[in-house]
Amino acid sequence: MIEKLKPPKWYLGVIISILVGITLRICLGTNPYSGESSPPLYGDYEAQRHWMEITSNLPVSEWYQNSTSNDLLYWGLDYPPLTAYHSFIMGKIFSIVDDGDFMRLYTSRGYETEFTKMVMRASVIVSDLLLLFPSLYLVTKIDFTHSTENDNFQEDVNQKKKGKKNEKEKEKEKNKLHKNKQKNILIWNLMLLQPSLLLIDHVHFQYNSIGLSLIIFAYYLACQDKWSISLVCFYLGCFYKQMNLYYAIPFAIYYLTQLIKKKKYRVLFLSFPFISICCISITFLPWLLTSADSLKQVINRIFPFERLIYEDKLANFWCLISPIIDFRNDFSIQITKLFSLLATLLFSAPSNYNLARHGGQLRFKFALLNTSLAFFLFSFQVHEKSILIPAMIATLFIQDKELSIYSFWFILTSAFSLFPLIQREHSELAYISAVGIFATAYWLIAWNQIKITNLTKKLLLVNSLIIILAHGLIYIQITPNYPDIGELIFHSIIGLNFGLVYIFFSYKQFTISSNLIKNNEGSENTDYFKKLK
Amino acid sequence: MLVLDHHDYVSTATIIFQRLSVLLMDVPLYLSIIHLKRYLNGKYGQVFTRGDLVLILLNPGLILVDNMHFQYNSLMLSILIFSISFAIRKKYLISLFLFCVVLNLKHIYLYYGICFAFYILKNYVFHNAINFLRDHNKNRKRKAEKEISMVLGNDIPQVFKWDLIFMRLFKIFVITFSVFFSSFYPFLRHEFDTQLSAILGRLFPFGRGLTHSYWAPNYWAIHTFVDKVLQVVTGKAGKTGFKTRGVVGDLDEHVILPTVTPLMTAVITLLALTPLIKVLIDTKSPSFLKTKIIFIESIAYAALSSFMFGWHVHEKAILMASIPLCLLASHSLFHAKISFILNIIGTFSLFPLLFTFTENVIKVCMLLTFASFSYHHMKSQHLNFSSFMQWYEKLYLILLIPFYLSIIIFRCLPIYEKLPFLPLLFISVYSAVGIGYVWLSLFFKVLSRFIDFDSSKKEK
Repeated sequence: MIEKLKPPKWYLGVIISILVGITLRICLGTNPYSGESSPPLYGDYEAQRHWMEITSNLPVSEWYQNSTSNDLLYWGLDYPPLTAYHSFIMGKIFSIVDDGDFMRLYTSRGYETEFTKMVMRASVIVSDLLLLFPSLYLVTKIDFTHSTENDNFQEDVNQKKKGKKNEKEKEKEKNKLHKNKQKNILIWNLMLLQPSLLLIDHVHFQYNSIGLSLIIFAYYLACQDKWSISLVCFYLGCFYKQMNLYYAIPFAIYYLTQLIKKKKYRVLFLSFPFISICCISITFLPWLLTSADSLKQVINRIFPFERLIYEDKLANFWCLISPIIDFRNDFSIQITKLFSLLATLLFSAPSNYNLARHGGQLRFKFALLNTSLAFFLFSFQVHEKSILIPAMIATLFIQDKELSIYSFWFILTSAFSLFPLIQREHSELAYISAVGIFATAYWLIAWNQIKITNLTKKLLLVNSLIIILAHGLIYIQITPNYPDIGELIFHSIIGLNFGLVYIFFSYKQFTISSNLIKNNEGSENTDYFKKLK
Repeated sequence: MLVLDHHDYVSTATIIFQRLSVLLMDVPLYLSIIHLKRYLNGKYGQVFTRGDLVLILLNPGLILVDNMHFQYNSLMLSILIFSISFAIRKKYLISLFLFCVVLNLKHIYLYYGICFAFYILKNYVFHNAINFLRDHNKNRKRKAEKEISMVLGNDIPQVFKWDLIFMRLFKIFVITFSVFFSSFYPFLRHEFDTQLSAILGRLFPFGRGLTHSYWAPNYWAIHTFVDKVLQVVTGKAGKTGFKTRGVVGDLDEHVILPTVTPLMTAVITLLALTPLIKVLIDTKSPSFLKTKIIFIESIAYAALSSFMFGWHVHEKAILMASIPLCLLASHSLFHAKISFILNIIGTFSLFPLLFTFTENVIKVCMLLTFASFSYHHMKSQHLNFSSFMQWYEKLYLILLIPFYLSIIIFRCLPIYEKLPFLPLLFISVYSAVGIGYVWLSLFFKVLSRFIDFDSSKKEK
């Protein structure tokens, strides 16, 4: 019997990736979440649960209002309406699933059982499966579609030259396509293991992946010239978490420049305003219908400008210079607001200027990373969790041959920066395994394919060793007078890394763009031009 | 933490420390596999691939037993693999030393003893003697053929070095004795007799039942199961009823089928192991690579046979056969198939170890992931892998899913309260069938190393 010798089908790889992702997420989910059994305020898990309780039990108009049944001081809702709607749906589902006190008003505060923990964790995993997995899969295909276009182009040329191709070449091309597909799946697998998102969503407990993957959809669709849907996705992402507005400037500039360049004035002047009005009005409809005051209250809750410039210690500019100039306590809120606004604009300007000047997908990606990092470092009221926003874009850089190692560096550093947060919840095991698994997977999957000089390899190794050693500072109390000094040193090392990442990626954006002008617009692959000659 | 009175001592720091200590044991395991891989691949091309490494390091059985159930199997397996690696590199004394160490860490590694003993005896102690005999035979033949034309230069007989053999035997004795002595000395310093018998009693619990609390999926599980079924059918149910209820220490009495004694199990196990002796000391070894492969294969076979027929076997012992088999997964189609089946069934049979809801979900996910990954890996290593598997093998593996689903459903039924051990019984019997099949095919493979069954069915 002659058997057909075929390599395994590509979808087997997809199934494996999904299974690996799910298994890892479930395993991480067994670790304690933020504020597990620590009354009276608990943590972010309780916040999410409380929002479900509020939204599923109270009428829409009371969600953001302080009232007897909704104490805003106890984890009041401070995310945009889409989060509220999501909580509403989850709350309704959970009140069916668990007929105990899980979603009952007042009495359910701090309600924790093994079963409800499982259910909540499962809801995060499901949202990952529905949004994050497909969005990242599409992104890995971007470069892939480029290469097939090139192949097609080459094919045309060949056909003109030789006429029909023989079978062997077709087979070769098929094999190449297959290999490309497998590579993409592996890269996708690697992206799914991004440790900071895993740690915040599946250990600490939040639903960041929903907002972030909506933004990734928007990015993908913008790269595919599907402007209107992309804009809708972007709005959805921002209405899920207002922090996604870190991405707003590059998105706006990219839309504008591309639409003007491609002369799609109808989209720009008809569809875009229409979509904006529709999206905003539909999301805020319940509050628009009641009164202007309620809308104002929602906005106030979402953008808490009366709060301080930062809360916990984090690797942020304002926090790190606090030993020298304490912006949080010594200045009025107005001045700190002004300072942070100016600094943010100043540092996000260069890469956005570059994007506006030259356009192009790669520069768009750069601008997204640089701007969001600038926002993280300099803007007002930043959480340590906001590092997820630049880290997500850095994840997209993993498939780039030259920049892969730097994005790996940034992702690792961002995961390291979350250590104090995780340590407070006693989830060190989850932290070690998430970071370790990502590093191992990177080594297995991407290490052979990246370009790296010996010097950078050594520098990065030494750097990460320093950070790993610095983890000890969190545990050690150096002097009793300044109990937080260890944490501050830890964060300043991390902050220094973030600053370096910002400088490096800005530098790369400027140098790469000059290369791109020489070649053709938007194409990173120059091989086929050489072949043509 | 380590105070003796603290039974059931639990604290977050302790758990993190102990879990981390297990986690770190993956490092020696990785190193040992790399050590083996370097030698095999350096000399013979792609015998061992990166996917095999993943198969072992991320083996769900190993993760279930080590990282979730909590044991230190990775450490011992790593020492074992180092020992195999050194044996293959002809560093027999280091290999022997490491094997003795691992034997003193966990006496279950005695399963492998026969392989190491004969391998080292043949290749190290009697190496010279065997060569001498072979040459001698050759010369004698040649003499018979060409009696007249004697070429003296070719016929210088090698010297039979008795002293070398004795010297090497002595070295082996010294190493073995010193390792055992240093490990047992602290216990045997005082009250030699009582201590020794106490230790031996703990190590070899012949007082315990034929089957462990959860029946390990071996031949005796089937044996006992058939006995119970016959009891029910014939209505001769003894007064003991279902006595192996998971309590350690119950002795089984088979009512219809003959009751099994420790001696019987020992004899059967040894009988099953005898073909190995022939294989290992076979003088006309085909090729150098093949002897290495045969050595690893025989190690897996020895563990599997002891697992199948041993007295009071733990279900965790299946790892000792399935992990060494993973080493051969890329070598040949047959080994790939065997290790694929054995790993899946072995992991499935470990399922009852973990029973909380979260653990249930995790173990199922892990097994599915592993199964799909190893299928992918085998198929990319051996392109005709899927057609090489027989239909009944595929059916058996696929039926695991509805089987486990029905067990989950059974657990929700009210009848489960009355018969809480019935699902466990079915799991071990179902897995025992698969493991028995694997054992049989490995058994015939081992036999085919020296008996020619059917020339057309020979391995390519």
